[in-house]
Amino acid sequence: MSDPARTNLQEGAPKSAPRSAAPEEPPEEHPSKASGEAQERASECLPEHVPDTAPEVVQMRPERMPRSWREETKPHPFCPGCGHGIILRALGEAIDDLGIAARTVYGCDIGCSLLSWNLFNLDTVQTHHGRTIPVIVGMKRARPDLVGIAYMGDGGAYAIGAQHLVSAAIRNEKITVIVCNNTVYAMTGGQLAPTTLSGQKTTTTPYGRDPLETGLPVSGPELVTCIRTEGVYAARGTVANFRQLKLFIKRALENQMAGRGLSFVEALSTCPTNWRTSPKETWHFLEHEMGKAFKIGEFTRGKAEGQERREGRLSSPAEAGIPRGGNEGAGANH
Amino acid sequence: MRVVEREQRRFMTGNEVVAWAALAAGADMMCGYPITPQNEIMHTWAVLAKEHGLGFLQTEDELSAGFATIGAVMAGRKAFSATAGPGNVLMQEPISMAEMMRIPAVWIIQQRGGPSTATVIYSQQEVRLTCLGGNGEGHRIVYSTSSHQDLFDYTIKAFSTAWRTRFPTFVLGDGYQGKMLEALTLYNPEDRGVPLALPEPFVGKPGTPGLDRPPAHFRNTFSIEDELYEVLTRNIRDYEEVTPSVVEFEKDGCEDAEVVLVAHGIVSRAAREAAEMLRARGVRAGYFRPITLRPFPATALANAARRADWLLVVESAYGQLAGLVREGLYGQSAADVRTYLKPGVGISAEEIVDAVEREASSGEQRHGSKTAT
Repeated sequence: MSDPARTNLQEGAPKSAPRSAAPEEPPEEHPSKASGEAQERASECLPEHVPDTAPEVVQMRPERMPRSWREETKPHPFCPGCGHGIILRALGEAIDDLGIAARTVYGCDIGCSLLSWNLFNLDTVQTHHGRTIPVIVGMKRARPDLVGIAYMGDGGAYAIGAQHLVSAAIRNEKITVIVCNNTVYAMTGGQLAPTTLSGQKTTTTPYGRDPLETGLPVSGPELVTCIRTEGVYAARGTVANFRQLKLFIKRALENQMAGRGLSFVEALSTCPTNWRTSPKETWHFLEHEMGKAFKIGEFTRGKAEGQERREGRLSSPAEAGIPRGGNEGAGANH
Repeated sequence: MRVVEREQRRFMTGNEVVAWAALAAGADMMCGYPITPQNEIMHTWAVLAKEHGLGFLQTEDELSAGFATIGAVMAGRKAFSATAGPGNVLMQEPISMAEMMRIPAVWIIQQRGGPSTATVIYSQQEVRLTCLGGNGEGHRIVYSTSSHQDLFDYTIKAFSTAWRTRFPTFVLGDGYQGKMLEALTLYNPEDRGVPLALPEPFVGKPGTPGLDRPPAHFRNTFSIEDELYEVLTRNIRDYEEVTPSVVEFEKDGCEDAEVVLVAHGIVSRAAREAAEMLRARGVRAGYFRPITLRPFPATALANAARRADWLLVVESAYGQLAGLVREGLYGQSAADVRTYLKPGVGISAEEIVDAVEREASSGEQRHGSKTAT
């Protein structure tokens, strides 16, 4: 890759989730088994540049929970079939691999993500709905030696807390944001989320999401990448591909640790409770429906701040040759 | 942080005073969002922070400012924010989290007119919001200042009180105080023996969580009523315990007073002057100023009003202080509580004297509230 900051979606996306789940495959009875199965085919799902680094990070301990998980609070309280546990396992293993448990602070949002408040053997804080980013920003700015993780759902990231995500990208905050995208507000009863698919039935779109009325699903990593690429890491993984998701999360943590900038990972996830789906339907929705709507891969992999483009940077309108109050002349006509 | 070589008189705006006081108190982080009339706190802090290597973050809104302040406090910083009016409304969300989780953050509120955008100038209409905002019945400490010296003294004190009690603490000023130039004495707290609390991190302490020490887990969500009740009961007990060491007031001439003028903040200066003017005219007038609006000095006020026939509550709001007074005195005092209310408008000593004389001459109109026209 001559330019690592460039998106590799063109190469990565078509190979990802939709292709890997052939319709004739027998449905998995349990998501954790399914994710194990997904691991085996992970390498073929990874974007082009990944395999050369993949072997060193693949250290699955299927029979053991991550060291950074807290045994005393297991089993975790998420519903059967929920994807949160898979994402948080990927995060836990990434933290273990990087050996950063002693300096990591973990913040969780309100929504199902709040249930992770005591899941880790990490210092953690539960915040308010949508407000995890500013809390972690405050901690990180006060203690730059800490590794700050903000974990939230799609509602917290893209609806009630959208201004914080946008501003964190604008300011290039040196934190890691992980978003669980399950297309619904799960804890409050399965309402329309910013990520709900077109036509998807929720409790507040009982006849399906009509894009004319409520728009199309938001694309989080793409949004972040639109705001900024320099220093930013942005990727979308899926609980259907554990190894890839873990790799993305690990890279997001490394990008923060290198002080480059905002590190953002969205994980496509499952919510059979609110989707009201069987295990087979759940997996089909994740891999086929969501896989069609959301591209899997890395969108930008960060670049040192010093490499920022400098052109166009002017310190004042006067320097730019723009007259102050630049409407003279036109004013007489109004 | 030594802010001056030795004590010195200075002439500056109240907003500048607050920033200097925060520096003197050892504050090391401010997060804020522009809103008048508190902006110069941020402006001054931004300069001081650069000079002294301290933290400053201008955020995208007051929600972010408040939550980032909480994050900085949890990381072990003496952090604060400042806001006003509609910003104070947004700020109540992070403040309620600070109440539940006992985060010793400090907020400076420079009151402006309301409701809505109203005026950027002045009011005392944010008393209820600042004392009682937020959902649930959170606990907080609110100092109401009346002068630039107060702003300096109580901003320093707010940090100490917050970290000592672990309740979020407020300095409630107003736009007049923020924007006005006034003389005050700047000093280093340590030179006067003023105790400065040492901050302590909530997260990121030495050692690996789960190995060397238990992980620090902080939450504000509870699964069942009893869990919440336990936490609230502890908070209520703690608040009641610290109240005697926190509550503050000022009074003058109440011992033989037939009427006690009650006012807080900058209006208390007019009330004190009015009491002196009334004394000169032969009216036995006293003066009482709650400095902490929460906890409210109810017993002290009841004692001050023991000999009085009536009280006149004077405020630049429509009965917010009067509400605190009535609630505080209920069952403790037989004195009649009357009001002189000018929501969002300043009040002079002469007006108060006139109001007292008018009320005294219409003595049969008891139990009624008077509103200025």
